[in-house]
Amino acid sequence: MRVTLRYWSAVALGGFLAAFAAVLSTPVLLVGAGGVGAWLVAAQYRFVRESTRTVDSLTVEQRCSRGRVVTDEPFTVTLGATLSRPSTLDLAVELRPPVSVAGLSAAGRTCHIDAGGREATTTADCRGTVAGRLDFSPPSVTLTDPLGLFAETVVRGPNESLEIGPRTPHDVHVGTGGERIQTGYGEHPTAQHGTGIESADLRPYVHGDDLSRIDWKATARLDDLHIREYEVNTARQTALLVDHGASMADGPDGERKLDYAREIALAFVRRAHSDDDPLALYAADDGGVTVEIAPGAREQHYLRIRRRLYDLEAGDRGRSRRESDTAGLPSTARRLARRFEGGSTTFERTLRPYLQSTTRYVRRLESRPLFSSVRLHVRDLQRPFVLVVLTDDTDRAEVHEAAKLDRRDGGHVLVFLTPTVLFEEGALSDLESAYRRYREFEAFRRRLAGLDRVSAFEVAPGDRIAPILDVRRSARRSSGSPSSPQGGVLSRE
Amino acid sequence: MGVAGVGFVLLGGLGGALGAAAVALAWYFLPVEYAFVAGQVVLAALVAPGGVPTAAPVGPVPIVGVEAALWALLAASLWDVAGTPRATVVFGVLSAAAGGGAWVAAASGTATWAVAGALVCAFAVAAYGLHRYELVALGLVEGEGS
Repeated sequence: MRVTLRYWSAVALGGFLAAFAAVLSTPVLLVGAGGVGAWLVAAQYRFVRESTRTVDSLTVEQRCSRGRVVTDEPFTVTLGATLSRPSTLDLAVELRPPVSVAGLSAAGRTCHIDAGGREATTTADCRGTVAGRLDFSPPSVTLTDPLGLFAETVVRGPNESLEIGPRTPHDVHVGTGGERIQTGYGEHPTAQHGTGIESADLRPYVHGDDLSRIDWKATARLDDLHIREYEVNTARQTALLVDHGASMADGPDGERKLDYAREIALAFVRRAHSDDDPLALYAADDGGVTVEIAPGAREQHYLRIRRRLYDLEAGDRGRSRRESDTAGLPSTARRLARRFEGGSTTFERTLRPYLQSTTRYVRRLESRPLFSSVRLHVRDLQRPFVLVVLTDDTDRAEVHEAAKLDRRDGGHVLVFLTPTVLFEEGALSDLESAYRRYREFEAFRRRLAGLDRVSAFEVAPGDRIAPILDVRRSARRSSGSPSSPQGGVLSRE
Repeated sequence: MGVAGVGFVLLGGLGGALGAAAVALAWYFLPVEYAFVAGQVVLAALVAPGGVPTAAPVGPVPIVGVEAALWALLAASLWDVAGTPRATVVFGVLSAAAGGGAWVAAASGTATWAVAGALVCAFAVAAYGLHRYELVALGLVEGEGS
């Protein structure tokens, strides 16, 4: 039990009367001192009795709005207190969050039941700043005497906890047609043997070989001179081209398209760092190029690229998103033009000029950031190089042309695509529709992968792609056809 | 407050009226215990030997009336907030025991300082006992499965 300043002032008044009564030998003052003392003890008795009864009739609940969030993602905590009988005390029920919870206002963390009241509820917005398990201790209940003489704090109610996940994708699927790829990102076997570190092969000594390369242990074992070959270390320039336009913001907080693309980009940075490969980073959003880091292979260079990757935010949501473009390729236009050639209907005559001119198409592409980034920067890279394009399937014409642009000069293009259907909120509620959209995506990916010196992969949350593949499997089972042994569970279009 | 004011005027005339005004101001602007203590001080000033001279000797009735009014102030404060008479009854019993005992002891010739010391000790023991009881009742004693 805590006593207040008013209690001590009342004690002082009683002591003052008692002291003066003793000094002046005045019984009247002594009676007054007795009155103050009796009043304080009676008030204390009332507080003790009422506080025990109040706590016995009190029910406290606290509940988090979600069981799992990512760091800095807002969630709400609801705190409620109910009395089975009214109390003459004032109650303040307060959340006791862990120190890693931020954004919790003083007003939002406490609910009050005034004397005579029965219940109170408060909802507080907060966020977890550190990944891990977040435990809300049972709330504290502070009971206050309306006279302002006493207060007491007890702990009542249940624990509440939730998981705070890191703001990174937790199940990154990289593959083709639903199948995960096994090769590490960025590995580039040279198929060349020579001096190096990693042992590759053993061959007989031939005239002209350097004597220092003779493997004496193998020579003794095989009774003939042998040379040990090693994997040749090569340096290959790699350029990362990251799209962080508005469409890359699709997905839940911490698991957006850009987060998955970032994971892939970071994997390439790690690989390039371990192999000392020169690495460049270019990023573009809907407004244009935002990051230009020329190739380099110093320690600080890799660190700088990592920092810039972590700093990337998915586009300005205020800007208009690029519209989905699935039929804007010149090849499509040419095919239609051939079909309408010689046609005499008004419809065919009207469309023919639009299909014959590709100028508008070229202008449109040149104004797009991803395409212009490739044109501006990647052509300056030393050959051979690897261009890694990390984007989504929103603007397929742009991706298609960007991939085509630089494979011509000895470069190899790796395109990592995040399928929009696997990131849109509620897209998986209709699995049949989602599967149809995924098939369109897969057809586009295959068209890209069919280009010379271009490899295309899908990047998606593993737990979201699984239901779509289940639809395909069940469709195959019902039709009685076996799944494709080479193309994953999706058959070729 | 009216009863106390009349009592003060009967006991001290103009001086009593001034004292009653002081008590009324304390009651209005300060917590109730300040008004009670102010009333006790004014009463002592009016009735104690060597206090404020009065025009005519007065009997015990005004003194009892003033005391009853002042104690009623304290009792009312407990009654209002408690909503039940239990705390007020406890206050009445303790008041009778403390006030009456002090008066009787003083009247019987016991030294006033001794009676004052006994009162202070008795209330301190009672307050501490209630404090310990509350800790046990609410499960706040350390090591008690908390």
